[in-house]
Amino acid sequence: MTRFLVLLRRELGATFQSFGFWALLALVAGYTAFFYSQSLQARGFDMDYALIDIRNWLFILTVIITPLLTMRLFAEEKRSGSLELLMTAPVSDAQVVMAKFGAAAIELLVFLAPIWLLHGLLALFFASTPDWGRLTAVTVGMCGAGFVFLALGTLASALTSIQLWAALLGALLNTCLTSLGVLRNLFPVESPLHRVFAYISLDLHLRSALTGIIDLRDVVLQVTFVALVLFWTIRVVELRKWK
Amino acid sequence: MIRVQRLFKRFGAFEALKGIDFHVAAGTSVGLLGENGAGKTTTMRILSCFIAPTSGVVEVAGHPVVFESAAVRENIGYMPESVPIYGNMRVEEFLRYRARLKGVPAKASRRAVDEAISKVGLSSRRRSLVQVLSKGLRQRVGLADALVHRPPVLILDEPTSGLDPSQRREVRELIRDLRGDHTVLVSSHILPEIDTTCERVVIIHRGTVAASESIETLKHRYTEDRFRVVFVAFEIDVESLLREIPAVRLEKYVAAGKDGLSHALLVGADGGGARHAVVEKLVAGGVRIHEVTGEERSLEDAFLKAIEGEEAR
Repeated sequence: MTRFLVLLRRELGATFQSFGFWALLALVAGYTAFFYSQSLQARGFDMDYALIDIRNWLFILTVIITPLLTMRLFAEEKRSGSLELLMTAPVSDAQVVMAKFGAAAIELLVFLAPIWLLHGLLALFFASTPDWGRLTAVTVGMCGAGFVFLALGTLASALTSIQLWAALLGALLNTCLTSLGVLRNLFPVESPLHRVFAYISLDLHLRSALTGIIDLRDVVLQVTFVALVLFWTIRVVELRKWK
Repeated sequence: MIRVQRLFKRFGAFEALKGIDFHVAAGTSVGLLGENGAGKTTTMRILSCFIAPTSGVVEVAGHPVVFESAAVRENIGYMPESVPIYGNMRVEEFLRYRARLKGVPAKASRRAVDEAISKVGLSSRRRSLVQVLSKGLRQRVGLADALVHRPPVLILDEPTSGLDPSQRREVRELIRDLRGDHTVLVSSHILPEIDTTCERVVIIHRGTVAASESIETLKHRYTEDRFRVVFVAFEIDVESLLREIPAVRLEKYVAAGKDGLSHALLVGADGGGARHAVVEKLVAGGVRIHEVTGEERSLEDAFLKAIEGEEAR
């Protein structure tokens, strides 16, 4: 556990010390605030309705941001050669993968934090009581989807030594996973394939969360996805030994 | 401390190691020599558990590298050739991170880092960012990293590559000081360095071991004994006398100068025997021998001869 925490701290340190991260966070937070204020005005300052608008933006944000957060995880280590130094320390491949994923997950939470801050500030400003439960459900849903995207991004990063490729591959995998729900329409409703695509479609499993309901089935699907993809990532990292 | 038996490593169709065998005893320092692409780095990467062997037995500190990889990595300090260190960290911060990663408890890590820093002479640069350090200083950080958890085994891949002569000397002296406390396996292209820092060498050539023995034995096995004889002789054809001795080759003959001393540079296959034969012949011929001195045998010559021998096989 100690080594996992040491790795996690190092990953977070590397990100939080980079100018790029804070610049991106400022950009995202600024745009989120702008988007939220526009939505509030359009909705007559009804924060609950504004939240419905902003959840779509949050989803798009999650799809775009996650490959950027994960692209350097393994690709940069491979490019610089520091993977050799890292993997010859007494740490397991699983610890390394989990620490890198964990750091990316914390970074995603930092990106999602401004919406809570905005919500709180506006609640204070308008002296109203927003629906915190719905905001929590939306955040949990976003985190669930985001963690799946992060796991895919981590896998993409482990497959290449070029950060750009890792980001593009991550974005492609995210898009494919999100589009699975659309694919179900290619098959009749009674077709098993229709149901299969509906079951594994990430966007369909976000709908409950976006309406303020945390459905355990969605959580189970997301956790399974994350576990499966991280397992593959560990195998990919291990593969260097046997190639 | 290190045992390698019938080690094979294949990368696809390419066979990088073809059944190499060698061992390194505890507390000794051994040089791993070979031309580019001979298999030195592959061997070191297997010993440090970065890659796995295709087949064979590899044990470090009594632990097999495949089945007890974590235990092996706890017992080694590894310094890869390019010293890939995170540039955005400070020297002290990087070493603290590495010490913690290698299992040094938080409270002990400060002392461990201080010791490693002072051992490699980086005290004045401990707060510097790694990315602003020169190549020589980065090498030292890499060495400090290998030492920080006081491992019994050190595996150093080209620790002096890219260093200037004075930096090279410092690193060489440092490695020499580490002998005894640590078992050191070091690879280098710079043979005089291995000559001064190691007791034994393992020469790898095209994935096979061409030689594995003490440096002195290697030199005697693969190099000829070159020695100079200084003598005084009047009206004696010493040159002819020397040419009569079998197994001795006369390379150079300088007749008596103003000081009355003549010089002969001779090469014999066997040191003791050749010199003895020369002295006996000259004394019997009435020559007064002033001095017999042997020339330093070079590891480079021995290395090249060992490789030639391996190729001829």
